[in-house]
Amino acid sequence: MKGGVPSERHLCERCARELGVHPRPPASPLKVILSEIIASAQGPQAQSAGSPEAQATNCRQCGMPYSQFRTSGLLGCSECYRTFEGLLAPLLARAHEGGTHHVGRKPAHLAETTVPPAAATKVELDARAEAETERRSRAAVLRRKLAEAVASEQYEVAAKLRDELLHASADDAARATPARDDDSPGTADGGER
Amino acid sequence: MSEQEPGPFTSETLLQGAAWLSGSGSEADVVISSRVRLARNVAGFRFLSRADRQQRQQVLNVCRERLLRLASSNKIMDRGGRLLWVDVHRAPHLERTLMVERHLISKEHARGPAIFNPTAGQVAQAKPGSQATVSGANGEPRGVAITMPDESLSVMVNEEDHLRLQVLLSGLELTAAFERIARVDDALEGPCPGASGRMEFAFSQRFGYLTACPTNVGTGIRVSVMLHLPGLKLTGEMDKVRRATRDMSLAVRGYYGEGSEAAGEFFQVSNQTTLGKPESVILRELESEIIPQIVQYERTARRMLLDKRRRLIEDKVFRALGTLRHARLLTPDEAIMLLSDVRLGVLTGLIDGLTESRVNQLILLTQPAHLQRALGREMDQGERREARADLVRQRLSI
Repeated sequence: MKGGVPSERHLCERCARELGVHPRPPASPLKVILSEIIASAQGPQAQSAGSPEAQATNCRQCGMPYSQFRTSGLLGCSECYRTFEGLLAPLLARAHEGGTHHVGRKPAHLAETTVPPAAATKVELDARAEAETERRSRAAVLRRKLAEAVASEQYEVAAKLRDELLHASADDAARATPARDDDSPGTADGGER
Repeated sequence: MSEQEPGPFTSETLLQGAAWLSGSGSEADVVISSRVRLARNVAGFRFLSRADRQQRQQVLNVCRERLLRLASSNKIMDRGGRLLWVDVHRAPHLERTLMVERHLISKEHARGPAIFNPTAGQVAQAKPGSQATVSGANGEPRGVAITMPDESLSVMVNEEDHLRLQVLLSGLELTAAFERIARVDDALEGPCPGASGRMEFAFSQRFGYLTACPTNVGTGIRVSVMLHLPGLKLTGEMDKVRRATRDMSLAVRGYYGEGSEAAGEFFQVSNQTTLGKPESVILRELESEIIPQIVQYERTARRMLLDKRRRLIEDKVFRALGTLRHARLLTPDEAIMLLSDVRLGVLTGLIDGLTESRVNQLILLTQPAHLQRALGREMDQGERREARADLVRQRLSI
């Protein structure tokens, strides 16, 4: 059967690509410039979190080594998100166009009992979302222009756009609050049955 | 459902249900269907890539029990009807393929998952298309719940995540689809008569709903719209669509998913990011911003073709109709391509005596499993080409 349901498993392949599971050496000016952006988006903290020691860690809950995630693109349990948080955070930001924290629906029992640190009211939440959308849209336009400039070999223009994009990323990094959120009971009790 | 029992989709009921192909809903001249899906995992259980068969079975039991209880207390049913449960790992190959063609389960769910080997600590992915998996030898416990008879809600259990909820409606109806799926999402975690304890989803304050693949984490939402854009394809303006979607981080894919050519000018547009934006913004970007814009582009292109290049569009439409009415062999790709042209003819008023829903039905009926079920026998590829052409000739006869 060839037709049918829109396939979504492919997103893991995309994930593998976007999360750098199968990194390829830069082979063209475009890739060189884009890889600089990716490296700068990760920042020194992320690079230290991505050290060989960190990558050798196994999930304390399910025992999955990080190397397996790099191969399969799939995590083993809820606790993997905490165990590998330092490694995952920059990758998630890349895969989600700069999104680092959840905004949106949450389990009813949490909505009743806790106030999320990042969004106390619906108005604030919507305002944050609007700002986030606008910022991403600007970054996306910059990225598109950059790709077009490189494709047409306008390297001076490309370098200028790259600087703008790096500047925007640096602003975002400065705004981002270091996160060590308390997980919900949903993940904290993570015991297996 | 076992190998011996008849499946839910018989030759008599094939054209019932699949409400998403009814041609109703907003902007249905351009928007075929709207789909919203949520990825969820049950707290306290490993994700499936690290779960052994016993753990998968436990997840399946918990989810099946809850879904069926909620259905019987009418908490997740919309307009009456019943909730059908199918053990996908026990379903015959043809039955699984029928559900794929009806967009009720994914190809991966039909095929079966990667299997975790706890001794080796490795995941072995069954090779796509291998005989063992296609014939259903992968018996890893997995299932799907489907609202009958409209099939608008389906819940896959043990696909990539423990739960994949989907609402699929005809036309541009994303808000309605989201409201529906949000009710089901709430009901699954809410009180459930007769069930033991609550069901909690894996969730963290920082990352939101936790999913096996980090590309789905956060809202876990995937919103997609199936569009029919023959006008823009003919006028060579598909770049307009690609530009409009690229800046918003949306993906454009063909009818068959990523990597596929757009068979018959059917395209899917969907969100790619799930972390950092609330569902309302993701929905609004598609439903109120991008899709209406594309719909307008397409309508303008169709009008322009009718006004200024009528002979071109007439030739395309009637050439397709002629081929479908006289061909003796048809592949699925050729059928969908020609039916796409005929659909354009119906919508622009060039073809009389045919309805949009009849064309939509043929798109479904000419798929391999539907064809075999409609004719009541299994056929090889060559036989299917003959049977497909016969069926189309019969249904499009003058």
